[in-house]
Amino acid sequence: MTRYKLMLSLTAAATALTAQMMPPGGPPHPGGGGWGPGPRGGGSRIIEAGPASRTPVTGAPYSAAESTSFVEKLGDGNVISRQDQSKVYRDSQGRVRVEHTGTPPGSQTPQTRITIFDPVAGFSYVLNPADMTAVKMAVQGRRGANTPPPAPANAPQPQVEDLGTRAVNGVAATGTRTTITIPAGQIGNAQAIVVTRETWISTALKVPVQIKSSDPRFGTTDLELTGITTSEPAADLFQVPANYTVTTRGRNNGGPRMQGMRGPRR
Amino acid sequence: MDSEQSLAAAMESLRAIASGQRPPERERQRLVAEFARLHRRPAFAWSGWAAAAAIVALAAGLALRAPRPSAAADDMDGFVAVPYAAPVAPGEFLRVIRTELYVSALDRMGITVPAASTQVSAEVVLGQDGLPRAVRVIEDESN
Repeated sequence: MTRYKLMLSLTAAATALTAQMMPPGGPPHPGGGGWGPGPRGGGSRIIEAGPASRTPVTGAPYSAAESTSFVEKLGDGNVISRQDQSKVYRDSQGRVRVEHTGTPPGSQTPQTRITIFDPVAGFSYVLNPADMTAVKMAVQGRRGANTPPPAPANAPQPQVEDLGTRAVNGVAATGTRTTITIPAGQIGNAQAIVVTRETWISTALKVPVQIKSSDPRFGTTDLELTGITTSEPAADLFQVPANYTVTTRGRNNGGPRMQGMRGPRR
Repeated sequence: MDSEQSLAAAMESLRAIASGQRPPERERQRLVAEFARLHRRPAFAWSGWAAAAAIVALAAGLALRAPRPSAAADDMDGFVAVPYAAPVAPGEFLRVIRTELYVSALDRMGITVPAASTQVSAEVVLGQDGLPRAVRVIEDESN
């Protein structure tokens, strides 16, 4: 019963961001393509967000618009596509704010979710402007250790190609193309699957300005960071408005974990 | 080395994994064991985001392993790496969402769960490109 209530809350909390899990037109039919959520919950919510690197990028503020397009070709020849839009801000202290707006499947009303990652104060927040609520989570303290990169393993490597440096979306960026081949039979696939990803990272800002991914299991994505300005964003963008109701959440509140979950078949 | 330092060191190496620089197998196994040991501590001493970042980093690295990782290695606090997912860049903004997934969707990822129903509750780690990097299925308490 508790779980059912949670599912209801998840439905209510469905956001544009989490629409990344939900192709337009409703959830995918089992076995009929797509990897989005099933029909029971019908929604999902962001519970955490932040940069992959634990070392905040400081002294390089910027503001930009981020657009991500998703295209998935179904087995019957049909195509599912959608676009997400975000506004991204980072200040000189390394604090990051992402405002993500989109329209959930089955809805005509765009919804916005805001995430603030504040390594200075040691907290991250997920804001829901619709009901003026925010969830606060602790961020691990920083350490300055710089462990030398480990030596490459002798195991087979994905194919990584250095694309050099060029201007992308108005800024200098270094590019890398990674190709991964899933051999036939590894995940039940009759033929080999080729996964590719081309990433362009701003040399000054240290963030992706363009990512083009293709994974036949999920479709293709094209992320573009445009309209980049390097002025200092307003400080209040990285603070929860005073009229928001803030709740603090720990991590281990997701219920028991399923046992026996496994990776690829053997 | 205290546990926090061990964790910090592990995090650094895991981030190196995420950036495409993978440690030797023995070091990787040591990191996985250390990560799991710390994560089992009753007093949860580090943040959810740190866990998520480590999971993503590990997921990205493990996903690229060939031959594929053992079940013990790719199972971190219930999170399982999406096999053969492309690595994430250090500057990417990652998201962890809680959602409902068809079991067939997990099959498509290459992940098998012993689920009795056709859909499950799960937490999914997404790269900035919106593609899944790791999944943790949550038991349905109503069952």
